[in-house]
Amino acid sequence: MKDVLKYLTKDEKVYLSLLNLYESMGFDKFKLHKFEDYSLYLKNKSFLTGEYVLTFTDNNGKLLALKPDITLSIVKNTKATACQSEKVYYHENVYRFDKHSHEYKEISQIGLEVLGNIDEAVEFETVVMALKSLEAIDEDFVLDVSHTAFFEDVLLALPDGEKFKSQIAECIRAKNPHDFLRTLEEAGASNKFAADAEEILSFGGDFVKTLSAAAKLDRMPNFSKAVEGLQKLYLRLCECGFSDKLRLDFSLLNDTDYYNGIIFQGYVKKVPHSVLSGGRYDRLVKKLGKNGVGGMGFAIYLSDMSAFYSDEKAAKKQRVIIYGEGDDINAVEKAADKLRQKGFRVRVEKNPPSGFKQNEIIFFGGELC
Amino acid sequence: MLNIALPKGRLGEKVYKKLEESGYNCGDIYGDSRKLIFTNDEIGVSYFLVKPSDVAIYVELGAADIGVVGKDILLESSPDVYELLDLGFGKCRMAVAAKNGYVEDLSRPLRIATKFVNIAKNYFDTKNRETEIIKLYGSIELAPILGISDVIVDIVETGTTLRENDLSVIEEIVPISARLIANKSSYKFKQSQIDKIVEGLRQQD
Repeated sequence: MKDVLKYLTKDEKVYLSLLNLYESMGFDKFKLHKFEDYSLYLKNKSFLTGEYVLTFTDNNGKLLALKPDITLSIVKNTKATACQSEKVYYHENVYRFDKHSHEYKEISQIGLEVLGNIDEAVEFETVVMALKSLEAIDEDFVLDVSHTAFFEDVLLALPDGEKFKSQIAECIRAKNPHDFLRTLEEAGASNKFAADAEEILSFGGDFVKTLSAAAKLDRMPNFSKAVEGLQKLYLRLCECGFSDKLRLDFSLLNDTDYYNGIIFQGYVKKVPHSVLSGGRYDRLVKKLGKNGVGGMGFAIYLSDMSAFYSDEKAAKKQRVIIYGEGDDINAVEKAADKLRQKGFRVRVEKNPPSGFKQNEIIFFGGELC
Repeated sequence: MLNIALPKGRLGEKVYKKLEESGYNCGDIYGDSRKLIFTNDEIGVSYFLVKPSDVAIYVELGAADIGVVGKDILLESSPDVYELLDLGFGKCRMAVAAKNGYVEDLSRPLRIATKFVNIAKNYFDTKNRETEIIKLYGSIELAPILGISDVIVDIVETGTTLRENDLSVIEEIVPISARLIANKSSYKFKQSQIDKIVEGLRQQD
């Protein structure tokens, strides 16, 4: 089995590590059907990463879609109640439109979801699992943590908050202090409030500094409560040895129609975009008609990981044996097996194939055979 | 090593001078040479000179950690990057312009010629106005003169081109200036280096 590992790509290795982690934590595998009713996505468009969905009509005239998201399907099918939780993980492909290539992409995704009663212990466990998942990808990782209460309370504190909702969200996501200040002022914020809110946005990174800046903001009761919760969570995670892997950054913002509470995103140094994304989504669960049930989870994008870890790929120890007319086929196979036992990958061919170096090609009857 | 994508041309040259003054010198990168990559190992900085409209792509995809780009390009392509600083130069405005004396016909969709399809669409969507957008790649001012559009959406700096073609601004959409952007992942791992550059540029304002 150990020998097989050397043939695995980075995403396959990560998948095996995560499978082991999630099973050991008592999560059950959730296998989904390949297709989903398009109406599920139509009703929840803003929960999706992109607006385009690949659709087709089945034999009965029903409009189906290749899944752009897994969480929606799991929540739709959950039997969890407030007293009976479900803890599941999945490994599925999703189909999303890529704005750079202007084509749909198949993305391999692994993730986990907890549905039911989400208390402090579940939040802590989920964030720890996110941290351990990142650790399984690369030891050089960070987890950005945020809370939806920052954005929500900023809107509530502004006389014209609702009118400027999308502009404020854009400024927060882009960590754009100049336009954030301008927009807050246009929305009726006092100079002090705008400056304090901008300071929190700019501080993002250092957990302790950002927490103390956050504590200064008044007129934001939900956010103050959230800050207390984040402080507790931080101390617990520090006890697990993750203090230098945690960042508090309120520029991280998911759609607040679906997410409520803690949200997070994971990064590894070699990959130029986030590899993990998740958070608390009770509002999504409620929207799908499961009252009194909470939800929290995260997804990891495995697809393009191998491209950023190509340097980890061991050089192939390989040979090709070329046989000729009249050669003894049994003897050729025996010679190949002999090399395979020495740890080579050996191919048998009549003509030298491309992709092999000169010293990797052996003509049957040659010295090595 | 910190990788910086700068736009070719005047804007990039101006930013580079500011970066040079902040201590991020890499020789005469805007000289006659056709070289596109310049590295100074001593201070750990590498500059790429790229087409202005490509800067955001290089940064979003992580080839460059930071870059300098016009707000017009950010609004048009919506890259998933941090926009850390308004550099305050390259100032102009995105505006709707029409032939002098133009009167809008509200009984039919508004025909708009522009390079900035998304900006135009988003702006008129907020006004709930039905539009037909014609994508052009240059000499946008010709479109209303030759009758293929009612108005244009374009960058206006001094307004001279508009005046010389008997056009004028009828609505302003948004002010534009150069912005310093950063790749989100790079910012997590190189925050102190990037913040230092931001601070250096801010102090020169």
